[in-house]
Amino acid sequence: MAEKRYAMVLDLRRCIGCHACHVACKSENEVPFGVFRTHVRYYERGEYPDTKLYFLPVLCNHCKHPACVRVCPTGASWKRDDGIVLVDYDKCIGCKYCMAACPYGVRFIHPEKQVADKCTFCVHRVDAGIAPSCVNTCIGRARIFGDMNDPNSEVAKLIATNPVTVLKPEKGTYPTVFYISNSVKEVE
Amino acid sequence: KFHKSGHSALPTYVQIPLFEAMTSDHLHLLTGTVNVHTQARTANCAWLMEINHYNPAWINTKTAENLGIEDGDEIEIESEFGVKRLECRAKLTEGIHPKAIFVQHSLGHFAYGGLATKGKYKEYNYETKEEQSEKEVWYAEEEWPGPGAAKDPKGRDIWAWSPNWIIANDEEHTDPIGGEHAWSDTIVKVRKAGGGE
Repeated sequence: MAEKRYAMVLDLRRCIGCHACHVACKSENEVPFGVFRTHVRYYERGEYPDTKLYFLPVLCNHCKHPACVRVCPTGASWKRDDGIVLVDYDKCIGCKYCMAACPYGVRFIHPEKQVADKCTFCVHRVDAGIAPSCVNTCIGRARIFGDMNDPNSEVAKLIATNPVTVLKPEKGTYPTVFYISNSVKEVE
Repeated sequence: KFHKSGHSALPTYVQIPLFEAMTSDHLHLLTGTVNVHTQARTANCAWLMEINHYNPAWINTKTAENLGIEDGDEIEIESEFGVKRLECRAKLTEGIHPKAIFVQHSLGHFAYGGLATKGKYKEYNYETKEEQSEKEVWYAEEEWPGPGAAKDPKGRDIWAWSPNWIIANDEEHTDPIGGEHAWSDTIVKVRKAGGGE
């Protein structure tokens, strides 16, 4: 069997911008106040009466070629074989290089531990065989998680049958967080 | 039953008396909540307040331009009811009708706990069962104009604004059958604060 490669699909046609993922993440991962691992950005486009409000949930993209791992001087940021990018909190010295390198701005310094922190795809849940907390809570089923190397998984089917896009493809990071939408280009 | 109490038994259109007096200067005051808050009850929930803690009045960009209002400006909303005047900040948006102004009613409490009223909170340590001293909220510096920007009708500092102080709730202007307040049927005049007095 091929190696696992975890991926998330964000179906923006179904996102209603309710911030449930944001709160579920904070609750699950005990993220302190003032910082967030995932967030929903709002973008308003168009003039009245043709106004549209776009929702863009952002999280760590768990890139195939992660810029944060490349710049980390201590090897604290690392990538697992299944594609999940993690931070080793014991090795991190809080130098913020990774925050400067990340094109998506999803890393932050944990105010209590003073180390870099970010979305882990809820690695403790994934290793136990259950979906990340934000996926579990999403009321519109806009977030779908799975193994993209398994052709029978829901994410692999969605990626194969829909025009998917990633954030900032020109950065050459090859994210594994895919967006199904015709609005990502407009809001960037 | 409606017939006996002097109302029509069938649904009929009745002109709202306030709207007859509307001039071109008036705007409709709409009130409501945003997606993360449940009416006004969740204003003391830290996770939700972190997402939504600032409730400027939404006003259409073109309307604001005509009134000389810019994004983040202090404005005065004047109605004939309640305390008659609400001073708040404006947020320019294309997502609202040019003849309307929207103020979110989930914030602006003066009695509902530290987060909702003052933007101060105490952390509780469940292990030692000790309450820590009062802290200023972590989101105070982001976009918030600073403590003292919002006042309740008695002049006390509060966290944010509430439109409930200026909506119509007297006998004449409420729903004649159900008695609902004029949540979205109050007409107001809007102007930039400080000028024109």
